[in-house]
Amino acid sequence: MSSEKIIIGLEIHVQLTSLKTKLFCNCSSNYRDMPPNTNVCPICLGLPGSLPVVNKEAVKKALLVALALNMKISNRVSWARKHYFYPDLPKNYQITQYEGKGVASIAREGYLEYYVDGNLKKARIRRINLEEDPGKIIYHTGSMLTSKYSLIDYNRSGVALLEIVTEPDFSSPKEVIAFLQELRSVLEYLEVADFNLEGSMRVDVNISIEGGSRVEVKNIGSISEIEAAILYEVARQRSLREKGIKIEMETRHWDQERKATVGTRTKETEEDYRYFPDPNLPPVEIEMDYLEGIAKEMPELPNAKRERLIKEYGLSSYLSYVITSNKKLAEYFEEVMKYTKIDGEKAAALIVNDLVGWIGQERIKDIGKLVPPAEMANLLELLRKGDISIKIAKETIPELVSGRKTTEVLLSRGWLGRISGKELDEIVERVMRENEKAVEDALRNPKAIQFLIGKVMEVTNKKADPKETYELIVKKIGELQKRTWSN
Amino acid sequence: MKKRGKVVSFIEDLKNGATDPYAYVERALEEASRKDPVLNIFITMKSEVPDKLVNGKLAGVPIAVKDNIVTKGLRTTCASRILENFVPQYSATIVKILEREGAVIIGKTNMDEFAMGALGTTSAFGPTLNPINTKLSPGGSSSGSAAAVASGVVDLALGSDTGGSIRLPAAWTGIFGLKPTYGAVSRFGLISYADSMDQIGPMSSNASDLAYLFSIISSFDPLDPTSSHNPWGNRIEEIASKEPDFDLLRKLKLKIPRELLNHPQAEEYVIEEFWRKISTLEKEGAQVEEISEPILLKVPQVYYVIAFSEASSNLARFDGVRYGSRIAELEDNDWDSYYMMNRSLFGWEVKRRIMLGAFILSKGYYEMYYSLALKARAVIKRKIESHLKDGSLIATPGSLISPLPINYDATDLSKLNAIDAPLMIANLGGFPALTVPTGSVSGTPTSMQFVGPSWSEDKLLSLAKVMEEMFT
Amino acid sequence: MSTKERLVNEELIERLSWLSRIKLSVEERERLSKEIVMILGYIDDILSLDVGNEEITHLSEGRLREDSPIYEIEMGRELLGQAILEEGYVKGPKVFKG
Ligand SMILES: [Zn+2]
Repeated sequence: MSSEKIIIGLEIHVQLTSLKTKLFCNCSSNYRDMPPNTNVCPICLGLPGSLPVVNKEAVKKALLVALALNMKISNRVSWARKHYFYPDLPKNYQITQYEGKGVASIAREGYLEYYVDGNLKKARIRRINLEEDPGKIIYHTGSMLTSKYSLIDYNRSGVALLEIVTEPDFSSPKEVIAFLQELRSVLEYLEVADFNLEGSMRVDVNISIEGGSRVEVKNIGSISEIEAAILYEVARQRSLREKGIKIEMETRHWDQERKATVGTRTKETEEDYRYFPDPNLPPVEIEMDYLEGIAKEMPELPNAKRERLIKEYGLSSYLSYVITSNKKLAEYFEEVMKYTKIDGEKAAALIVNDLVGWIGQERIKDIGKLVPPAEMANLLELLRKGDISIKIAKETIPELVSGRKTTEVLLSRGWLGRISGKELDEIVERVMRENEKAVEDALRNPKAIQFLIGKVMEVTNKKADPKETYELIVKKIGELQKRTWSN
Repeated sequence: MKKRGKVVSFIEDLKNGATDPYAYVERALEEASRKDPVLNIFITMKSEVPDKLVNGKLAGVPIAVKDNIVTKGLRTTCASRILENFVPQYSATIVKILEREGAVIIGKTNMDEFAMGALGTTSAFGPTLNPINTKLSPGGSSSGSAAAVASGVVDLALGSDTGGSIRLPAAWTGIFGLKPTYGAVSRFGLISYADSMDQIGPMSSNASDLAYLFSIISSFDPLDPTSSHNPWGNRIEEIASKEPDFDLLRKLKLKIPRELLNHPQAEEYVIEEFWRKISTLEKEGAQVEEISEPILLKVPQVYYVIAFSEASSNLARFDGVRYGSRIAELEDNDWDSYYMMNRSLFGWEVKRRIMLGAFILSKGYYEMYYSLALKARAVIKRKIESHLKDGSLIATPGSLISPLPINYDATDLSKLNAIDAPLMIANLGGFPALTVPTGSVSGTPTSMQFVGPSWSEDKLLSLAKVMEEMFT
Repeated sequence: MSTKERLVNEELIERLSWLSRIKLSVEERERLSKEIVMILGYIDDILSLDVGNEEITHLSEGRLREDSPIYEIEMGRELLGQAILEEGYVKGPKVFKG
């Protein structure tokens, strides 16, 4: 494999799914699961005579993102038209923002820090733009290539999109993915988008290998597809280069079915878009007071929260990272910690490994409803006081997820209370007496101790602490060995 | 003898039970069916009196609406083959206002295709003829609306004015026309030609009804991003019903741009007639001052750069997919070839304006033409504002030339410049402008145009009432 | 031959026709060539204007609306009365060439 540097830049399109209405009209921004062409009005269909009016909340959300991404914010919001003809674009121009020609992006020149394998990286953000989403084309044969016509649903047309353009600051798919995950959690913290919704984030990737032309791969629908698309495109460009074929600057399409990038053969170039200020949309000043008000509403962002959880709860940086990558999870953790004095790292481990393990990533948004923080705290508090063992705590969690209460589970299973010290010592003695064969095995092979631990757990109804039990058995086995030698 | 508005009188009579509520509409429909075959006023005409009349400020009042204003359930063509069979499923805000007030839209009037033209001759439905002399153009682009009023079919019509399209036909057919301040009347549902200048306005046979209609249609519309609240309260409606205020003349200050009056294409009798009327006003107390602004002769060129550019963008949406006529076979074409064929349905004037606009906005020419025109627009607006800030109005003839023959070949750009220059000032600056008839010279109507600062319609309409009393 | 006449060649006409997505007949191409020269000749009057730096793109103030349905307007598929519909979708041209 050759080793030329890979240069990657991103254009990320995020739907502002938290808005109630579309960017320029009354229609609902939640178009999903609606029959085709029912969430439409004269404006988002671009019917003759219709005019756009800007959604104030969309501007606010964009400004919030601009602040979070450390950007320079324009002193006014202005709009441009980008002209290209395509059946999903009702006016055959898109209302968007542009840098130049008397208009400007809402914000420019920012950055976002993110971690790759524990190392802090920084990606520069070139600009962010508000713009309207086009409609959606489906193909009656399932493929663009073989369909004799297209079928268009304009329900999505006009939904507010935030376009986030980065500088070409990435050199591997790994960095791209880590960046996108960080960006997603920032946007989720700001409550601008819900990425559980299909199609709410779409990415265009600009890829070049050192010394070659830039190829834009459009329309990648999920983070998981991005790696595949980048690897495919890099391999394609390298193989062209090895064959001595010049890599053309072009736009390619990611074909999710075939897992390949496909040339689109569009003739449109940047020059053809003929951007100009939208004559229907006079600029609106962004007042300093307004911006300050938004800055005050700015929630704590993932990075800040990460640092704080480490300081405040003594979390390891790993668990802090995992917990804060999801806003709901981080909030849940802090809510739980209000009701218990347990060591933060212990609580975090149980929440991340066990609780999230049982409910699944996609249900994290409902975590507080599935297991109320007070219930979880109750369990953790019993663990802290030594009333239950860690093993019981771990086994109680799935019961909590299925809707039961901590004390109810512990009482019905007879798990409440903990056997330790002299009481446990006696039980261990008895178990070893009753399982001579196992003790003999353990004398030869320390791994066989597991069997004895299991037996003790059975007898104590799991109320023994596995670690304490293990230590007791090891001690007693050791004594037995000494006795054997002295005989 | 005081002149009363015909609509204003009808509404009064209606309140007093002194007239049959259907009489006005019936008469209009009858007149329309007689005049339309001769003059080609309407593209789509209603033939039946509505079953029920809505009570309101325009109850039972017939009105003609230009065919670039969308009307739910009533064909709206923009006089183009590309919208030949387009029946909108929503109505313009202004249409909703008219319907709410009980007005009866008796038809959609002929016009230049997509309002692009000065003679009414670019219509795909054939030209409208001037009621005064059918060999002549009535002026465009609101040619049908002007003819509907001038021929006596209606007393009220709606036109649109992007570069003089209400005022030129008003001048050439001898009626009243007002291009309002940009933002005074909702554009929602007006099919765009050049958004930054388009404005709907009233046309009428008399000054009172002109003011009355304007008082009803001027209101803030949340659906129009450039709509504004007007500052007049009830003032405009009062002007419609009040006696003319002759005191106005003693406070009137008129500024007359020398370059326009000296335009090489201006007709002598027009200029003479204009000065005669000016001196009459002067005798009544008006102050008159000549001003010099050479840039005014370049107003049309600035206008065209901006209008072509906006038009090329606004008219991109007509591709035959969602609405509009289609001539290409859907399954035989990819999207580009499909659009190229369907869009060849535009008439020539529209095609060339779209393509010129595409040229102006393309790389290398944007700065050279478009950006420069925007800067020139700023200069023109500022200069005019400085002339108007002492309360003056700018006065010009309604048209520097007589109505052109209907078969006129508009290749002589200097003649076009004479038509456009006085009128387009108001569109570039967003100013209100009024055209009032002042009588006629050997059968040809004469008129004056007044341009005021933004939101001075109250003053312009008061003046219209005074002028009407003095000159007609 | 003027600068304008040299600028307005077959290639430019082709490009404008393409950018505007308007198919032109042979006669229309010739007519357009002539008329562009004429109209640009007219418009070029502004090139000598002495202007400042301020550009006017709009005549009124911008306005934002609340993120809620504050007005009533016709909605739904009825608005697409003139489209070709197939199971509720608008039938459009294919988006692949070849
Ligand atoms: Zn809509």
